[in-house]
Amino acid sequence: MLHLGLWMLTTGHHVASWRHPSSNPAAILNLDFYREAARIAEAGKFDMVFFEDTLAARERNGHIFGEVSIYSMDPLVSIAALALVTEKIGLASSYSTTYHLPYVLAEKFATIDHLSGGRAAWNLVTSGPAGARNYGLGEHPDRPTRYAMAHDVVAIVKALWDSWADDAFVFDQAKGLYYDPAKVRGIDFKGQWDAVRGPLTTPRPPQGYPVFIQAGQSEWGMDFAASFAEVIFCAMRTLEAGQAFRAQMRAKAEGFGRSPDSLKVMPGYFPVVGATEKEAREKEEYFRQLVHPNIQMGLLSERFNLDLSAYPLDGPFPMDDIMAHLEDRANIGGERSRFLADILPDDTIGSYCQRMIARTYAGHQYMAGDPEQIADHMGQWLREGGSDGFILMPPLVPGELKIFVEQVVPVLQAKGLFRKDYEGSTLRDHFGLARPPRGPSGD
Amino acid sequence: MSVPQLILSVSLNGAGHHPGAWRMPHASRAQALGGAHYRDMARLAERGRFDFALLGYPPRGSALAPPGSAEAIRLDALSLAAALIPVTTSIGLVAAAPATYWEPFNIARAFSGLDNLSKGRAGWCVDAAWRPEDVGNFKRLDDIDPAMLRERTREFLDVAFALWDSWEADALVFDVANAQFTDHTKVHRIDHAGAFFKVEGPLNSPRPPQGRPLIVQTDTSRDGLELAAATADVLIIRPLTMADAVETTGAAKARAVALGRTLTVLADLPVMGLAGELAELMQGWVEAGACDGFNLLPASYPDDLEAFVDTVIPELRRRGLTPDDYGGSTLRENLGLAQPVSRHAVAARG
Repeated sequence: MLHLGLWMLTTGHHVASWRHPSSNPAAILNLDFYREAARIAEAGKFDMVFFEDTLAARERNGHIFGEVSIYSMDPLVSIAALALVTEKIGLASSYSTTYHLPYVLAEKFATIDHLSGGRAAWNLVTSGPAGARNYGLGEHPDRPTRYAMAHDVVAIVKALWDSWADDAFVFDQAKGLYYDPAKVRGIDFKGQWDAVRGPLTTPRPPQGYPVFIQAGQSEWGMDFAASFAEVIFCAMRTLEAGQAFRAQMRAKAEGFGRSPDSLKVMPGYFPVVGATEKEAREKEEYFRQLVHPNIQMGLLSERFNLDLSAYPLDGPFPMDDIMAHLEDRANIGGERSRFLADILPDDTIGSYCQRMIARTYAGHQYMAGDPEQIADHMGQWLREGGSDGFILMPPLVPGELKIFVEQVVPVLQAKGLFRKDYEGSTLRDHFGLARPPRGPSGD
Repeated sequence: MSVPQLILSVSLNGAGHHPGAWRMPHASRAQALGGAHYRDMARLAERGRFDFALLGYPPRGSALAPPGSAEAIRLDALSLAAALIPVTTSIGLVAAAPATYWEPFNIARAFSGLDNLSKGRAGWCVDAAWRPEDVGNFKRLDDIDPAMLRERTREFLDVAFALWDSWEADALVFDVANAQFTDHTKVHRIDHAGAFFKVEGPLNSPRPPQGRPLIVQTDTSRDGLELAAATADVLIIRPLTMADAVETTGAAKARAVALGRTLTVLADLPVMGLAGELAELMQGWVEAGACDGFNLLPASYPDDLEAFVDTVIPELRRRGLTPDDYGGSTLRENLGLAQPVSRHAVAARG
């Protein structure tokens, strides 16, 4: 059975979705917009709706990236706001272990799990250097250090959620006992990076722990994720890559003494759905044409950290200037060689732009087709071990999400690939994940 | 002769503010953890045209309360306020959140979200207290010297205000023809580097509809009154007597006026007494300059809030002390407060 999540990202995942005639970009400031999307996904029996996080405004060349929809709502505020107006769908949010304290994280996710009746999920992210400038922490911790810190955070939040036994909140009115003190314990965690006394003052979440999501694809990230995460977000371009990654993650999970089935691999999936394949191709082309040259130029300028609008479109690619500026970009890592490999010897800025338009999906699965084709494609990934489901990246919200739910979901259901209705009430129920029992005391 | 308009807030919690409230026959466990209870109480307060509901008030530390106390359970106030947005329409939603172990960027972003999603109904009840029992739970407190707390809190607020100002109100243009979503000349870095915080900005979330969420403070110490006069929109006091209140309120308001600002003062009001007497007392306090209104602390939910809405509110209306309905669309409008304009927009206009 497939698992499906909706990845909410402003007006949609297509970089120019906000220019689509049926898009209402001003609506992204309103809760109605998110409520409608969540309810469509819930009508489609999705496992969850997911909000990502950013810790700094997206900039290019020293100022805000004006050509694309960059609004980034606090994701926890967003999922909390949906808790009382959705019934079944899981509510997932990224939140950084680098810039939020573990006690705060534990209290917030416990609160949302209680308010939603057991539907919260946390995509645990360690934050790259882009956010450091807003948190004044001086030297930004390197990646191994961030993961080591995150290990501590996972241990602390679990211990905090376990500080109340499931039956500690006794509410015995006759005896005047609100909670049973024998069933609430401090955690007295002392690690290399953090120390927390506890206990939490919020009872154990309905799910025991909210569902853990992780998205690291680096070697460190994979080991870290395999040690505790239950849902893995990833970007996979081919079925073979998905199969290899999933097999590796399952093996790593077993290495940590976990059942491989307790870990669900969900690559991103960008669908372009048409009634026929021809219609899907036409839609694809229509979206392509929404990418105004200024948007493409903005993306390139962001990528190369150089304002390319100062150069003529039909002129040569300014390789010398680009090389000089790439050196300045601290966090570009392995991306640099990929960017450079994309540039062909005869490229003008214009020809490069044209060719790169199709590649704005950050390496996620991209599929244009009719509902049958998309359902088959998803089914193949599931059957052949490429994934346990997908985190859907609709090009346009709510429009293309609605089309997916109305046209593709019924086909998936008819093929027996996807649930016809929710069988349980918590997100763990939807994923078939066991509710973790309270762990032993740390001392 | 015109009578003063009385401002009303209500502090929402589980069973109520009396220590024994949870043992009342109608109290239930669901009140502690269920969203439905908070939804119903917020709607009830909205029916009574309360200006705002307070979540997480009074702010308290992370020490576990004794087994007989309902204070042993607390929920994240910001998440609660967010959850109430779609189930209410007009009432303000003010959440307590720390200005100590949180980061100004996180606070500014969360309340920008709350204000945007609620279309201008958000407020932040600033919890700037340093409590010894919190030290073992929040590592960030290790960096704070309690002797410097006053200066640090002031800088924390300055940074948050600057971040809300970093987007001018008309920065989002949605210009489809020219592919301009945001006018980047109207989004500004703040480049703050002070004694306690270093924040570049800009915020990654547009300007709140209210310009700035309503700023509520509760510290009535000398330092607290000074901070409130300089930065708060609303100060909540807990006076023992009316004379007490007259003195505190007078001093705080005078200081605000000296700084060219307006400060609204609310007094905590534990609910008891007959409707007519209560209304009389409330009117007396406001007319004596003891406060501008009240923050209701119902002894038990839902009974005491229900009784207040059904009996005291009509009496207050009869006296012309409270309006029948919400006149404005934002919390600031309902309180008759001006909307702050971004410092960058002011600078641009010269």
